[in-house]
Amino acid sequence: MKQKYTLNDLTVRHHQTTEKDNMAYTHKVLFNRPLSLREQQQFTRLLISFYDVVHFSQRFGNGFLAEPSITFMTPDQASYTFYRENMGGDWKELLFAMLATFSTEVVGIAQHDGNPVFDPTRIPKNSPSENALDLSRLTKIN
Amino acid sequence: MKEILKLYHGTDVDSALDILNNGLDTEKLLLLQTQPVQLGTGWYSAFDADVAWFFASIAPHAILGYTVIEMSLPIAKLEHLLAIKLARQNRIANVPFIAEQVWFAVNSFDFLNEHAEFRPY
Repeated sequence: MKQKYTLNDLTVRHHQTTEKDNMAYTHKVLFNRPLSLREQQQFTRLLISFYDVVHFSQRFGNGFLAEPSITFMTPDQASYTFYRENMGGDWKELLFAMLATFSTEVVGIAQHDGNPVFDPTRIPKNSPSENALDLSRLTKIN
Repeated sequence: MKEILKLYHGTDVDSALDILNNGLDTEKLLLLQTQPVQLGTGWYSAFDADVAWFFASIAPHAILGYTVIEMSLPIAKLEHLLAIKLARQNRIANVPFIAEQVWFAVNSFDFLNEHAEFRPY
């Protein structure tokens, strides 16, 4: 008989929202090294600029209710909060492209919400081949 | 000896449980997949679980949270789907990292439900 899975069987991650306002979505960023004050300002400016582009261009599925807030807990850890009507929208591709460029050109982003996909030191070694199945990823069972 | 390929799919909790317990469903996918996607309508999976987590984190319906599920598929079955064009392997576009995906056409869902095994990751 096939196993019936429940919520308890899953590893679940959540978008962080504030208790008072469930339209505030907070994301955590861990950098590869501590940022200088100038780099921290650059990261903050990046996110404010992102908001300005999305809001004033109206081309990326707007829905932002206010400017984002950005906080550096330590020089190598920051969080940013978007105030939105919902989480969907084309703006994500723009945001991820901007974060990726920051990660490549300024300071590496080791983790974004616990996810290492922006880490420039990690990407090359995990890049699969372009045209063929990577046999090293196969698991052989009897 | 049977060669098995593991692929990963990130999605919202409800969709994950539905796939785990009932398999892939064309009608449900068509209801959820309303925005244009790289290779057209279908089920997308990644070789790397972290890549699947990335897509899970941007799933538009993940109000209750998001998760990753694992699909184990005999390599011979995948090669069959690739050969008859019901699956495609290629690099993921419009993402800030280098990664590949395997896309499965909706017409392959019955085949996958028969030959693949879905588990929580």
